[in-house]
Amino acid sequence: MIGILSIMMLIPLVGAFVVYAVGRSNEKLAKIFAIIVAAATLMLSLYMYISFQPENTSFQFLEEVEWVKAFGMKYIIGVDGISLPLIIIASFLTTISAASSWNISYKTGKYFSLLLMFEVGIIGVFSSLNLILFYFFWELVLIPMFFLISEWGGPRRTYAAIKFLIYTHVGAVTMLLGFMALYAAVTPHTFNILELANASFPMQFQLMVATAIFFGFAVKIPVVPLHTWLPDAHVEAPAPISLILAGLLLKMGGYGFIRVNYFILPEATKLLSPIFVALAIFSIFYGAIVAMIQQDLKRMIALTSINHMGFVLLGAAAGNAAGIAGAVFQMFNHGVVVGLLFLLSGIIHEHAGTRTINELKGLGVKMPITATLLTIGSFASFGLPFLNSFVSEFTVFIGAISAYSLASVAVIAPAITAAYFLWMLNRVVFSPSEPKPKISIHKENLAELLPLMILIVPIVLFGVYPSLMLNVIYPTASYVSALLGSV
Amino acid sequence: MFSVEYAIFPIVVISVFALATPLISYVTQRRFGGRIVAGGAVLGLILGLITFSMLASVVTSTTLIYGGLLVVDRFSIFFSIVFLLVAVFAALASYDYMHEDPNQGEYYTLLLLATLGMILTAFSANFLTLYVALELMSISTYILISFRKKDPRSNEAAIKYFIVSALASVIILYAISLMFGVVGSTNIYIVADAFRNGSYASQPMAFLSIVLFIAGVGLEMAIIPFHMWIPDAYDGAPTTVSALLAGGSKKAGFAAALRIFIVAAISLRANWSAVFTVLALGTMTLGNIVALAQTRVTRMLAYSSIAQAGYILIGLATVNSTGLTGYLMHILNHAIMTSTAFLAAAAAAYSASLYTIDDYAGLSKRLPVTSFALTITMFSLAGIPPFCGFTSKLVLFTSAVEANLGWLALAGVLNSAFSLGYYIRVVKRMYIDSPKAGGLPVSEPLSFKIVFVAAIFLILLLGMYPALSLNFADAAVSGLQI
Repeated sequence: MIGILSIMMLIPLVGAFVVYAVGRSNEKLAKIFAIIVAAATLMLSLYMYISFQPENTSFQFLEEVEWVKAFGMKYIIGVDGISLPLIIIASFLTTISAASSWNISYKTGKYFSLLLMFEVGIIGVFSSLNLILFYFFWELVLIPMFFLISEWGGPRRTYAAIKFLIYTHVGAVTMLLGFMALYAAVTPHTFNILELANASFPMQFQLMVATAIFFGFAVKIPVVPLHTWLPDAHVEAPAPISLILAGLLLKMGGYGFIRVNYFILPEATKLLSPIFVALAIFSIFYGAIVAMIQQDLKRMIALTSINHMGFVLLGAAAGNAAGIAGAVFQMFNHGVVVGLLFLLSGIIHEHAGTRTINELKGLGVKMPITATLLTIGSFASFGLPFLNSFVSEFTVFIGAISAYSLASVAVIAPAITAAYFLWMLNRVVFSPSEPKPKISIHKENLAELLPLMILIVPIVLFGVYPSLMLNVIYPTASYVSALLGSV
Repeated sequence: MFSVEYAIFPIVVISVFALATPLISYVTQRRFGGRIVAGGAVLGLILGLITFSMLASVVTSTTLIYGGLLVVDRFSIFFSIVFLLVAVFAALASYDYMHEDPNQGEYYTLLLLATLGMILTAFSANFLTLYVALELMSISTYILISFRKKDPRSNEAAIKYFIVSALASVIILYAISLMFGVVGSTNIYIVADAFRNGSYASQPMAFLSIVLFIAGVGLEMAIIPFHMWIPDAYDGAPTTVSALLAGGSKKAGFAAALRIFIVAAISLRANWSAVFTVLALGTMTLGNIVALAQTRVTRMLAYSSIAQAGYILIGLATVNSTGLTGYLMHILNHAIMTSTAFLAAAAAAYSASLYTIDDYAGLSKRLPVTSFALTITMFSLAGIPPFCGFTSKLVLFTSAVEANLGWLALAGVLNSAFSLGYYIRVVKRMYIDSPKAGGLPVSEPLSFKIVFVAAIFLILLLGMYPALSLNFADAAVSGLQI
């Protein structure tokens, strides 16, 4: 019997081939079809949200099929309170990304089929419960993303795509080495996360494996100093692809850290957590400070991701229920917010012909709706109360400070974030245009702003009523923290 | 009632086709050119492939036949399928690649004989049969490499291959004679028994014989420091022959190595397993580093195949059942991948006269099927799922971890990541760069397209459902000893 999770991967997989075939003759039909496919997957994920039982901390919607029995490989997928929000955001952002790619006209069929292929991979990563299956999907995300950046990206797209591919692949194979060590260390040999979670390993072994696996996740999150692929890839990718890069691809690292390091190697992760916290705080400040001095709007947004993903690692490394729940919620929220900001940077670039912040004066007059959206997005990004990021960052702080009082220095970071966002808004939105503007800004188009307006809904909804999502996350988060506490 | 002697039926079929080919060529050459001969050769190989595939489920035990000259087990069937798969690919692609050549009768005869030599290597239960089989393969391939007799590169390649291969034969023969002096038999299974029951581990002659075997088989497998001839040979030979060499004849060396070290000399493993550990590390590292500096596609593929031989050797270094299973799986997978890659290079050279990596700029617009096949192969060779190169490497590296050779697994994993650097360069050229002026779309020959579609299907099938090759390889390995 094929379950809902498999259907959620099967729909975009089949859709990808159909879109490619349709795109060869009718580009418009291919676009519409791709959006419908993505939206159908989104509907299924919302159905999963409704039928999910939050109090049940074991895996739900579980599916198991033997794959390669002799080698401990099994097709086993399921969700819990940690993966469900990420699956929802994955299908949501893919839909938004497809809808906002309406203007793509170069090799349309291929573009949308790669986008749907990416969706298969990302849903697979968030649901697989076998390390090799996890790795399969992990790399399945990589190849479509490589082509999406390298064929539809900006002027330095080749460099950015290859840098992205090599960085993340090196991280991935190091992680794979850790998986193989786990396989060899447990009897009977297996790659199943649930069975590995019940096994116990000697401390020294755990430390080595935890470090190797963390390296792979750290490249994806990304943790400074493994972050240098991020600004290039995000800036060169077209705006809808930057959206899924920052909104979804980075989350693979944060998710993997919680799923693998905490489930399988709790003792070592607990021992190493001061180092993770230090790395997280360093990333938070590094991202914030470097973002402040950027001239390019898109590059600035890309660097805020380093800052915000630092909060994810901070919360996860704190290891208590609040920290982990905050980290997962932060991943959810950051996806929505950064997606909005990237789409805005794409639209501004298209209408004004530049992304340089100092040249964009007077945007508020020429493009009032875009400017309003930019304001809301910026407010959400630096954590204004009643917008979603505030709740998650606040939860992360509660968790982090109650675990490590020194982590309270990170509270300064949102102030820096607020400072550069307000400075940017001051220059772009709130200042009048110069008497002789260097650039001409075209009028905005309501249809292309529609996907962005949809993104406002979760920003406000989860800011005002966060328990809609936190109720799902919290029981599993406290279950995971109990895994650590029992050590 | 099935008798195990029927297992040589496909060998007979291929021999008959090999010997009939010159006659067919003589009769049909004038009216049909090489079309009929090529068709006949492909037909013979496919018949062999089908019969061996049918035998795969029937043969369940290890049986010596013909007074212990040949052995029928799942191991020999496994390797025969590998060789025939590669030979079918090469022969099918040659249908278009060689069709202007006046001597096609000889070409297909030699191709079939070389394949026959490879298959007999896998079936050998006696050192002398092994030697004769390797010679049959080598002599046929000398001529195949120099087949473009007016091309100096082809001639240079053939001479290099000839000298190296003759040296390998001599060394192997010397090793056999020493082994005979020590044990008093050339039968692999009798030697194995003698080694198991006697104390030969510290005997100098047995030791020397092992050293010579490593050198002789090492030359066939092209592992360091015996790899020098590979790039010239693969680059100079007609590229369809390079596909056969990289996918087939090199793998015959690996088949021989397994019979020699795992069956005959398993009791002396303390003497040789550490050597293979070092050779595995050196071979993969050197292959990958030098491949990065290549400009011609075939030379890059040659170094890539050296690097992949290093990964395969991990199986021989760990000597556990996981490692040997991975050894066989990677031989099958690499045979498919590398022959496809060489045939893609052949297609580019044949259709558009493109030879260097820079020439491939914008190839995806000119030869879409070839580019797609080459892209899949490159990703698969780099070990990216869901392609088959990933699963066999996974098994190999896991075996290293199991055998407490974690550092070897680390080296393999890092090498694998490093290799993506030069594989991705080809993909970048084909898909991202725009073609040079005058790069118009050209037609791709049908025979190449058939090969590519079949290869892509196999790469995906063995990648997504590795149980197919894993279970077969596992059974083949477990039946190695009687």
